[in-house]
Amino acid sequence: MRLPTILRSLFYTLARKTELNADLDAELESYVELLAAEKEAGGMPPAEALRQAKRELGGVEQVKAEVHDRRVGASLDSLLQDIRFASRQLRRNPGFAAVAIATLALGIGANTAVFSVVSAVLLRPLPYAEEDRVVAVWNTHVEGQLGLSEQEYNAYEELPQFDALGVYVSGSLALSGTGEAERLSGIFADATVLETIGAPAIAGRAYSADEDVPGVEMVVLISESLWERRFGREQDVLGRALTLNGVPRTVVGVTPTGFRLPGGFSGPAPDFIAPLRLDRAAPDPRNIHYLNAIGRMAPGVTVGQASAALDAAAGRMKEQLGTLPETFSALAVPVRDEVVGGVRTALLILLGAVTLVLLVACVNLANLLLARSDTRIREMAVRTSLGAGRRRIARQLCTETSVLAVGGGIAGLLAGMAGARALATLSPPGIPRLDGSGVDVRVFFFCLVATLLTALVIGLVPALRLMRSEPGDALRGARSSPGGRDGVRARRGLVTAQVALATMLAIGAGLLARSLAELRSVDPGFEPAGVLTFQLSLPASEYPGASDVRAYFERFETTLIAVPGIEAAGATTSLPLASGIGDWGVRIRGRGPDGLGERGPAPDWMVVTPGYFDAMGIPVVEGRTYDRSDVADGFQTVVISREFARRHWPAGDALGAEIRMSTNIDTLWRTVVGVVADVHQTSLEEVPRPAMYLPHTQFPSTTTDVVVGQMTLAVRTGPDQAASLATTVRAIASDLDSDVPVADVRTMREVTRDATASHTFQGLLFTGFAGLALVLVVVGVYGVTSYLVARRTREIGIRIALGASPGGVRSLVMREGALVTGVGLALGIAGAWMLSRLMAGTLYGVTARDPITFVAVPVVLSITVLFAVAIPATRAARVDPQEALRAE
Amino acid sequence: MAVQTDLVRGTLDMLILKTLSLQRLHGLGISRRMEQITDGTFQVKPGSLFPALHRLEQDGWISGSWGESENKRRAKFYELTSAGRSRLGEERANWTLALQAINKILEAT
Repeated sequence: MRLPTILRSLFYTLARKTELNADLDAELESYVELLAAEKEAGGMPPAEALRQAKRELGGVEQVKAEVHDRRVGASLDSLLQDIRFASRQLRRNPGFAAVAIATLALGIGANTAVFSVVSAVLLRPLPYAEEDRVVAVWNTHVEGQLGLSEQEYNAYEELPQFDALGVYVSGSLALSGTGEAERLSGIFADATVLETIGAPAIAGRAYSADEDVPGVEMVVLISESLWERRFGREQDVLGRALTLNGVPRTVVGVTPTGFRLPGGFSGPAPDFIAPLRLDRAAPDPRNIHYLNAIGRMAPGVTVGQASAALDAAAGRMKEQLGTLPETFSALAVPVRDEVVGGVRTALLILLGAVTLVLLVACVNLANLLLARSDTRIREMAVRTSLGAGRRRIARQLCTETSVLAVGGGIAGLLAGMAGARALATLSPPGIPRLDGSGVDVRVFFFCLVATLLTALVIGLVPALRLMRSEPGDALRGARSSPGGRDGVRARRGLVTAQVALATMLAIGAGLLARSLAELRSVDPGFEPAGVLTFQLSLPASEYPGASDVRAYFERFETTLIAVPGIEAAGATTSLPLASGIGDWGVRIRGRGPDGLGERGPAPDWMVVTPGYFDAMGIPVVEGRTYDRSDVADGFQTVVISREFARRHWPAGDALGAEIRMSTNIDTLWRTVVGVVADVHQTSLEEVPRPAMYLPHTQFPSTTTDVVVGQMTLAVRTGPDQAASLATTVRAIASDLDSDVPVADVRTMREVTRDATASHTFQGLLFTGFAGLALVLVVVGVYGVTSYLVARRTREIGIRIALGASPGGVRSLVMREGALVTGVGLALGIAGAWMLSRLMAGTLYGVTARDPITFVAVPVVLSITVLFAVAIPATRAARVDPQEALRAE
Repeated sequence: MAVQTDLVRGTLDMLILKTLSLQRLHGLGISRRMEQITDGTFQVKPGSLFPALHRLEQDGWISGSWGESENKRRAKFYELTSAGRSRLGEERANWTLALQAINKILEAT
């Protein structure tokens, strides 16, 4: 049959159904009449003839059903019929429908919301052309990853495995001259980077390699958002010179909003991209590893091949320079791993957790439907005896659950949209690519699949159960048959599964909560209460020499101290838990040769002003900190951290020791004048590394050309007054020099809170999910126990009549509840024992198999669940035997 | 001997088409005619007959119309359409082919 014919018939079947059915009725009637007439003609009395004719026809309804089933589009027709019927059934029982849809909406909604984040962060394509070929290139050594040096860049770029290899560093520029001064954060990148990622400018053009060399006119690309914010999208900004760090730079183009480099997906998008202007012919001989690298592999080259080539090149560098560590190597990282590798596990764990919640919700619903199917077993039996096929009935039941699931799915999609927005707003800083998350086609599809699977899971159990029931039994056995042994077993199994799932979730939440508590109890090494911080960057054009910079910061600090309520003020180049920090090799006088190959101490280093330690509340362990007497041409001093002292002066004789930095800008021997407490510079999780604090008043000692002009100021005031200082600070800044922008104003409390934000967030979500699951479990356990008690009312009545004590009856019910709970708990603990390993990477201070959690959580859980059992158990104990026996 | 129509389910459509190719008949007429031709071997029950008739009608092989029976009763009569006639030819050819194949297997030594 051709398609048009099928469609015509289909239309015919559906549109003219009433007519067709009337026709069929008439036809069957005439059949009986003809048959009866035939029998009459054979000599039978009319009444008997009619009776026999009817019998020969068989069930009219059955014949009609079979005709319906063979019609074109019969399945579609019966589907519509099922849906109408299902809706009617649900409308008749709105309470049930509401509970079911709400449960599903929670489960599906939570899944949709979490998946929207997973989709945006992990699945969305990166804004790079031919993403598969783009890699980040890193040097590695035993302590971790390292950027590239200029010499290494020159060497690696030669490799035939790369079509292009570019380098960049992040940095900032002070924009002045048009309105309020503003500190812009952005990227200094060589022209190859733009070529590598293939991101075209949306207005103007990208800069070329000719503009990326020292000595030519300076150009800059600005971001779309800066273009909009500062210049109202005017076209004439192109070609205009902006005053950046006091120097004019010509705007040549505008980068699109999505433009990001691999390291920059979690923060705000860069405001500008400017040429790096490396002198390729004369790479810096100090071999400082400060460059981030991104490369485009040649077609057909795998990441493994690129890494192998880089490893070989790194080996040649090691030989050539002789100063690199023994474990020095280099590798290529697929750009997607580089961008999202850090959060992938945490997100997938979260997705796993929320899937468990949906499963628990499904189990609850399956249980509810099972209970309903018991009450409907007779209805189904009647339908079966009247000629409905089992398959048809099963389909009818599946349609009902599907209608529920679709209702839940729609509600879940709405809930998921709200949830996705909430997640995007509440989520901690540091999750890359969260902007632009929301419900897109992929998320919608996920929601759809989740809904369909849900329908399948919740519909299967009751449908199988009804299919297996014998209509005869159901009709005859009336009361005792529904919920026979099968039903009870299925129900117990479901509750056990539910308890097990919830146990796994609760243990996961417990581990995260313990981890968070551990993290919160870490002493950061400073006192965050009452400290306001902000960044100042002095344009080199206005502050060319070290003395200008020092004078500015000294004046700023003196002015601040004069403000009533301000107790201390000081500046640093690396604010703890906020800015990055680097290490620098040093020599200790009187120890070892100056051979760099044998790595000497390499403490983290930063430059601070005298007031810094007081402002941050970093305790002095021994000796002193800086004061204004540590002048540039005076006695050269240094303050070190306790860890530095412990490692290299285990005898406690650090004070008075002399150290020198391995650099030609600071070559004088410095005397250790103080030891301060260890500060968590990069994160609360990591053990503080050795650190040294160089005095801003003296560093660098050898030259006054190198200036430290970008620092973060910390101001200490009363515990609750930090936030209100912001206006004062801005006023002072604009008073001193209105071209120096104040940026990144935050209290130290906010900084530390951000440092634990991702743990808090993960912990809260997990706890929320576990709580949700627990509520569902309590409802489920309560429901099933109540059901079992109701079923056994008669038995319990007999027991009591025969002398069982109420206590005995209660413990009988409790025992059963305890058994189900116990088995579920055991399974859950076993599951968590196996799965918690996956979480190990996101935990701090507790192991993935933390014994306290594995004991405490199940105990709390079992107490909660047994409460849910206790209520129906108590009800069972109060059964009045006379009533119970009469009822039957 | 009466053969259960189940056994020849696949062939019922063809037999109906064949029966109708001889003359226009109503439902009961079709089953009586088939019984008569096969000397009572095939008895078509209404539960098989009507679904088959309605499907054939929907597919356009036969068409039904209300008319009057020999004994002046209203009945729905079916007749073969031209599409049905060629369909019968096809089915017949297939059937012969299948029959030959089956016989070959049964007669194989």
